[in-house]
Amino acid sequence: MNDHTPQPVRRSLIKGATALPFISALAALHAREAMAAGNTARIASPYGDIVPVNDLTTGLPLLKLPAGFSYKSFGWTGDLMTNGVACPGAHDGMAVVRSRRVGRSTELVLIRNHELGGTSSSSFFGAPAVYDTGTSSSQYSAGGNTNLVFTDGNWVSVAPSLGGTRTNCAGGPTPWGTWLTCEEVGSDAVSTQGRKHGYVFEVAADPAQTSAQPIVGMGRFAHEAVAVDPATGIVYQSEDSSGKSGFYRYIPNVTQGALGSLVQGGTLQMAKVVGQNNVNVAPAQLDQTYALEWVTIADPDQNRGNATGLNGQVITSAAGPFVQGWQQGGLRMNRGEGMWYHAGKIYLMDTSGGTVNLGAIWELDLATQVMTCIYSTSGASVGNMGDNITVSPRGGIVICEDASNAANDEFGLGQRLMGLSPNGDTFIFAKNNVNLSAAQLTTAGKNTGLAGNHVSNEFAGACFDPTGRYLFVNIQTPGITFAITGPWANGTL
Amino acid sequence: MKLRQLLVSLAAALATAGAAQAATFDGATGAANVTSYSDASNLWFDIDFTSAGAVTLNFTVEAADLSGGLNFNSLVRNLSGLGFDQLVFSLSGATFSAPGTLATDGFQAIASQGWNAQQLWATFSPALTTEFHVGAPLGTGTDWTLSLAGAQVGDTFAITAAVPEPGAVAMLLAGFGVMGAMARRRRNAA
Repeated sequence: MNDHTPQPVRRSLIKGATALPFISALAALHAREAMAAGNTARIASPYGDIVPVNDLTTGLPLLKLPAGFSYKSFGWTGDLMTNGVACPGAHDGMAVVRSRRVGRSTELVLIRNHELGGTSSSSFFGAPAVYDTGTSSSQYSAGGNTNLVFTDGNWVSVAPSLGGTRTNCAGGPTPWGTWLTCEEVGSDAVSTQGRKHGYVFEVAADPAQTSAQPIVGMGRFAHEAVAVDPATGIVYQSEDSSGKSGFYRYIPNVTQGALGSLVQGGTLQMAKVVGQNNVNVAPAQLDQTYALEWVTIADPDQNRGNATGLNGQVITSAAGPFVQGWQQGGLRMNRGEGMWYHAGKIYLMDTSGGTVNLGAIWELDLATQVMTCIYSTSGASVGNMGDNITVSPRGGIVICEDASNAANDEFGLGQRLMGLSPNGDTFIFAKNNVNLSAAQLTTAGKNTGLAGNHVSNEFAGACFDPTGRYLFVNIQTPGITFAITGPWANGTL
Repeated sequence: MKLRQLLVSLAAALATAGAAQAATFDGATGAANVTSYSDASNLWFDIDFTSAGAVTLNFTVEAADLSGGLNFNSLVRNLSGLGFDQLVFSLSGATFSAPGTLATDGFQAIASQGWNAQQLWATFSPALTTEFHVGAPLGTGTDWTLSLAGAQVGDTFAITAAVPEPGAVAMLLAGFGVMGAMARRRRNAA
């Protein structure tokens, strides 16, 4: 497979004559303006314009997609799972954790986060593994995970795996076929069962093998996502805490990864810019680079507090690991979000980073430990607070947008799935078109409580199967999972 | 499995009693990876296209007078990232004696399909990017029947699976139309 490793746009627009046929005159003008400003540009999609496309499962026009692409929805909020319980909502991070042949069939298992906080229900949607059965502020923990099976191009089942966790935002797949789910909790609250939150948990492809044991060594903070370096077993982690987000890594004691290996202990570290203390990398400009080193966090479970940096800057009410890293000169970003590993590099989105605070992507070269800004949006049309990201087997980056104000572009209002081309330009691949009446939902056999205009709700959990034929993605609210396919090789994803 | 298929399988099994295979798979050449799941009475293959093009599966006849024919199915996976407008399976040294089913995994529809003794084909809308099932590779549908009538031990035959270039699709469809018209004329003349 071709490896189209993204390159900074400035270089590519000078060299990248091959991309120009795809660029409309207007987009080319924007590209030149953005290049002058040191930002990412948006180009016309190599896949073509997007239009509403009917879902092959329900017949409803849930997505806007380019010609030639089709999709099947599954696992809606309220759909009955294999245990007879209604599927939880707030679908978020997700990945394909297992792909195997069963006879001549190809079976994929995906693990999906549900970013739910508190609930009055103590059912934990029937998950076989439950972390916290207690309450905080009279609320049980409503978050957790469900496992989905997709066989030979068809959705088969959804089953609960982990419950009793909170605000499972994103996470990341491991090379050994499990999912690390991240609690995005920035609180020291302790439940009535003595449980704290803000941890990472490992979820198995087989729900029955999930342990609900927090990996305390990976730190307790507002976790967003992780990405594992398969060569070393080191887990890189992002933190989503506005203005006080560290960039971490966890060096496990057991480097030959397997289910349960991370919980056996390791060392948590926070990134620091070589030779500089307490650098704020948030206002990232295209092509900007930083060489990283790492400082060790002695107590990954430390409570929140105020942090005084080596530069004297005080940051109040930060997570315990951030406090320790900041005191040693660690860097900070605005809000670390999605992460993905591909071909020796880790990609990390700072959703409020960049020159206009609408998003920047860092590419960390694991061999050199140098991170380079490969995306810094100049405005909402180009890129609008990207959140989860993924990299296709062909090397194309997909960005799930989650802006407080969804983009309103030539295709209308709605959150988007953006592509980041090898040349470093963005393009609109898909758009949220979920605007449903109760009558439509009744006809489709769905919960009528999901009715409403949801086009401004975020995409999340984008991931490809290993063959690159299917892009799986969630719309968080009303809570729908999609399998999308089409002629990917016509473009760069 | 339908009664007819059972009888065909039984006949093939009887015909090959004492012989390991009715035909030996000699390998494949072309733009796809081929995995055989064949046995004495079944020619079953997974064909994974990593690019558009053609792949030819080559065989040697190991048992003569297979009056019942052989069951044929294929699971075609498109791993190229490209959309396939059409797929054609062509025979050389053998014939299709009874049709089976053609299907996709539902992401794309079969826009048109057809067959004659030497070929089966389907066109797709939108273009196929996932999987195409010839016969019942996953247990749903009916296998095609492939006849080796008149073949002698040691003879060879081949099955070619091809993704025609977009420009060739119209020509192929026109060709099928001509063949169909000729077949109809022959039937009418008879």
